[in-house]
Amino acid sequence: MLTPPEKILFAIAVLISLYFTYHSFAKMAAVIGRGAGRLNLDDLPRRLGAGLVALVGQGNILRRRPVTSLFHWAVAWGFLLYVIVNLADVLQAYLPGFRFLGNTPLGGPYRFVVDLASVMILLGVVFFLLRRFVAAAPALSFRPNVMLHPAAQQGIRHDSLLVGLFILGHVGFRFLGESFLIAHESGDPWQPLAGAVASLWSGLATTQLLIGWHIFWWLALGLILLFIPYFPYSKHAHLFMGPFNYMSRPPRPSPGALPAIDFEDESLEQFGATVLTDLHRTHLVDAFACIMCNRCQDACPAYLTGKELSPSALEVNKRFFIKQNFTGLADGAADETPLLEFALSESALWACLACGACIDVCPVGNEPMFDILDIRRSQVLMESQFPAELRGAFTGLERNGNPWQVAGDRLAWTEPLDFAVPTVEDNPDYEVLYWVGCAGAFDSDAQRTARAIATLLHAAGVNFAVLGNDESCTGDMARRAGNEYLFFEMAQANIEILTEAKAHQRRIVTGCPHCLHTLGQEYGALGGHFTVLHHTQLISELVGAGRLKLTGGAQEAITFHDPCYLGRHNGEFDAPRELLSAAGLALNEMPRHRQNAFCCGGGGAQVWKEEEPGQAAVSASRYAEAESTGAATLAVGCPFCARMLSDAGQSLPVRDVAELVANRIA
Amino acid sequence: MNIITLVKQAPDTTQLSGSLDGLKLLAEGAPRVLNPWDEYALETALQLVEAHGGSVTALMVGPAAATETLRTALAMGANQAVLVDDPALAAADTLATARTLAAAIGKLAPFDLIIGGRAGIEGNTGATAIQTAALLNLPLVSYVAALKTVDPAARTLTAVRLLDNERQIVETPLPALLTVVKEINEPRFPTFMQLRKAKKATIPTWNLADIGLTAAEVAPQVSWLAELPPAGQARLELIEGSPAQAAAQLVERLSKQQII
Amino acid sequence: MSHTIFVWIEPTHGAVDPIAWEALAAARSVAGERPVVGLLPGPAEQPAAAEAIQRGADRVLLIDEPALPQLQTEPFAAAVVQLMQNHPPAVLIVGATAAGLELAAVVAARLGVGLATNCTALSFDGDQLVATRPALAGNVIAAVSGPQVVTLRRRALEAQPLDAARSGPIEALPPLSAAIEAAVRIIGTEPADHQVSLANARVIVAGGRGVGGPAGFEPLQALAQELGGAVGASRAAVDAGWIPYAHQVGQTGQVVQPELYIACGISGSIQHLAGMKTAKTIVAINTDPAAPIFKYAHYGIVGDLFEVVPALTEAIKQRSG
Repeated sequence: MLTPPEKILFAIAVLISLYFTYHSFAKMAAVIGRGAGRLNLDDLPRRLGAGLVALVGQGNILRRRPVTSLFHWAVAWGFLLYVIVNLADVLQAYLPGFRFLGNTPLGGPYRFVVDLASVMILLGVVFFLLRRFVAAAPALSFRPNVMLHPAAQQGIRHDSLLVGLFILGHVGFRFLGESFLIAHESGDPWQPLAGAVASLWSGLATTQLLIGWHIFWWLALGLILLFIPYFPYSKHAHLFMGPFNYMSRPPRPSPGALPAIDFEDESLEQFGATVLTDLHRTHLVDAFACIMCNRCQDACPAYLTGKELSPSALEVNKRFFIKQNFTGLADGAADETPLLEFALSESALWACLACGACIDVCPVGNEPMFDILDIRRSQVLMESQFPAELRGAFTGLERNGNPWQVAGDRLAWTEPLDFAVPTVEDNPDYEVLYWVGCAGAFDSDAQRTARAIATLLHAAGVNFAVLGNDESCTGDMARRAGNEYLFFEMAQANIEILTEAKAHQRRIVTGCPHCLHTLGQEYGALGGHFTVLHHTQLISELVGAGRLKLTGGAQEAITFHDPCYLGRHNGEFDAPRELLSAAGLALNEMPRHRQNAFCCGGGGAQVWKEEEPGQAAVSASRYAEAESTGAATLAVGCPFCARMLSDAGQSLPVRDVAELVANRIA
Repeated sequence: MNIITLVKQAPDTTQLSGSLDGLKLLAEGAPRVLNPWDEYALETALQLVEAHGGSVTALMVGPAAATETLRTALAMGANQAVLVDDPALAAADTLATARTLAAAIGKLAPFDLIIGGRAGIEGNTGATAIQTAALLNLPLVSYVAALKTVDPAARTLTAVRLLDNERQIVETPLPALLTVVKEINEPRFPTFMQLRKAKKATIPTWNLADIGLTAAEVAPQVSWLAELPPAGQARLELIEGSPAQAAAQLVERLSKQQII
Repeated sequence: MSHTIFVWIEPTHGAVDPIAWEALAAARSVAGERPVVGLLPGPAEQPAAAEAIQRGADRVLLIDEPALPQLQTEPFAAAVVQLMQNHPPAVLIVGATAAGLELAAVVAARLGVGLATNCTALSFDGDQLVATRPALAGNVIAAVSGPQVVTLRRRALEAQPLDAARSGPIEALPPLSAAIEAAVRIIGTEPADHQVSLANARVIVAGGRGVGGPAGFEPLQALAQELGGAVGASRAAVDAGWIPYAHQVGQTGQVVQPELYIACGISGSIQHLAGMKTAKTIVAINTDPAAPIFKYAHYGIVGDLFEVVPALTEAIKQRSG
């Protein structure tokens, strides 16, 4: 129990702390409010639930770095417990004779858990400090070719040290205070660890023990009062900004579905993000939520092959830019520093493969890929600054409806087939619309895949049709390359044609995961709602329904490369694997597969440009990984993966799943 | 600097290949675009105006539908665009077009520089801009691959010309007329804001009377008799035999067709 | 009254560009009884004048202007205009070089007569000159009637062999008016780039994965040199590090449109085709007869490029040798 003057003093300290806390949090809210769009805070109970799940479930932290993650669980859960502990400690200090849960059956276990948790937290934090400051874990640093805010390098160290020492202090002092209390109360069997420390004070007088408790109580809770207003300046804000990020994110049909721009709105003057405050609010929350763990960097194919891009450096740079301009940004001062001057370099901007690995792996729900693609929009739509090679593809989309500027017949691929592929005009009562895609129409390898898909549909007796020369590029390439206006135009034209063909009332199947994604996940925002399947999904369904019989055949070893836009972006990992196994092929998985699959190097419009300078080609890295499995064939499910990977080497034939399966029709 | 760029509309020849030959392209009315070479002329003008101030006017002789193509020039950054359209110009040859351009330029005067592309991709005549300079008695610097110096105050510029076997450095007083080759720059891609602005811009259309010409003055001197499919363009001919035989046969065929 | 056919004989640095002899041959092919007059800039004493007679001119007029060290269009065009005005009706045939086109265009503009450029064949229909010329990036050949000034495409005709038996007058015209001062001043010249750039190359010999390594480009280099062309490459060859990116042809490299594209060991992925499919003539050399490049090629040789390419180089050497 505190003395009356102490109580008054502590109450004043709380008020002062609350005052500063209010100001710093209001500043953070004001900065986030400078962003575009709004945070989604409707349906609050459900959203709070989502935040709580993220908090308690610790995001997806266990996916990578198991040891560190386990320590984090310990610290995080311990800290959650400490919210209760601190409140209980204050109550005990104010209310005479009050003990939280007191002599109820839960009192003892509560104290036991807190005793254990305290030590777990202390061990965890010591581990973190050793990892950063003694072992200098490489995962926590950035390669020198990555743009980093000048204040970041030292800033992260200082912040980490401060946070570490704060936790050590807060929990350590509380633990010591408890030990004095135990000594004072002659032991507590429920607190064996603090009890062990208490034995050290056995020689002290009762008053001395009480003074000890008073000192450590003040140190433990005083630190909290000092630290709370500091939160918005520290990456430790991830503690609540991470869960807040999960709960306030705009709803997305799939993790990488980009928001649309309404180009018919004449009042719009800004397209894409040029400066920080052009970014969506949720991506300013990202900056506050980032704990700078660099897990995204570890998953980023651009970073891993030596490019200038690091998604975490992007978030770190945003954060330090905010920190440096905190008051100005909060007060509404003009924001004129281009993101490309502090957040990431131009080469980094164009190195992104839009594979979505950074989003997938982030434990606090950040979406660095969205920032990158938003800055690309600004570069293309506002500044007209983009890699020159993309121009040909843009012109092709504009004039020819395909990125290669080919003016050929989109049905030429059907010529070698011994059955007719009907167009929608020939067969208006089709059940499944086969969306061939530009690659299927024009790329000689993808044409083989297109024939295989048609052959499988034909063999299973599926009533299907194609759009033929009415089909054109979905605009995916333009969208990932920042040319949102071109995407908008392509999408509008396609939605019209698809609706006229009644495709919205049927099912669409496509051989291209990029078409799958744009048609199925992104056209919705522009009014086109279609049910779209990847060919492996439909074929797998046909096999399952017994409409297609496959020969088991020899157990040839094969490895499968998950296309990013089939796997991570559309959540389909099983259909291609089931098909391969139904076709009698033995799957040797690559080290990075399914959710953790590594991009082929073609995503994010990289197929249409030269790779940014780095240490290695993404495609070569992936190809080598495929070779390492010892498989005889590299199976893919995307014509662009096929292109990138077959260009990367010669030892391993690259074949689409459809082709492999079509060769094994019983 | 006030710069007039001479632009024209052309069929999109990227459409040419495989199943689509030139005749079909003409018949089917392929998409019409800004003549690719003229984009380099526009880019040259835009860069000069960015460096020295002034304005860029895109001037085109063409049918009313070509207005849409002129919008591309506006979207790239031209300050204004003018179309000259008259029924009497339907069969205009290079000289008739040059006379029309010269008269329209007279109406747009004063100017410091006129810039055109090396040629139009459709007819590939490459004479219209040159003849315009001759009619206006303007100093002509053709096939410009680079501008070395431009001095609006002294009213001179020096340019590097790309000739068949050499690069020639010349100096000319202003005003002058330049034609440029692709080597000179990389034309810009319009921003969306510029596209939106260009979409709404009004483009004045002048007829012959507006520029003080009569139909007789632009009567064509040459007429197109017929368009023939090019000879020897049959698709793939496989040449067989030993390497030496195949090589000899190929060389014979290529020489016969004046390719080598 | 029958036409006088003037032929412009373009001197470049003291030598006559052979295209002028082809223009003379074209004039001869349509001349019949019409006189063919060679116009030759420069001093009276030059062997080219006699050669012009031996190659088909009936007469040679020398246009000298000592005050003009280098050929400039405006003053010489003025002289040609005067000559043609003095000999109506007259037609002018010029080799389609850069300077030739400029002269032809200016002369036609000053005379107010029709012009046809880059012609591949000429004929007379009565008193009307009819010219045949390619248009639409070479995909269409058009016949044009009524031009009085034409430029003739290089290699459209073969030059006539020297005929020592031919003779004719060689006359020097009075010097051009010394008052003519060209507004455009030539400050200097540089030799054209030693390395032919892909963008301007008339012929491109390109290699793909089939060349197998950096050394594999050597025979291609030799063939390109023999043809006065440039060396291109597919992305696969560039990515493999066999040749620098500057040589890459395709979607993400350069888009080229040469007269002749020889694809060696290139399978012809759509990425590569996007950069060269509008080449006027495409030759494919590949061991795989199923390679997609053959679908776009005009001539195909199924074979090993390391045998075929050196054979081609040899065949071309022999032809010109």
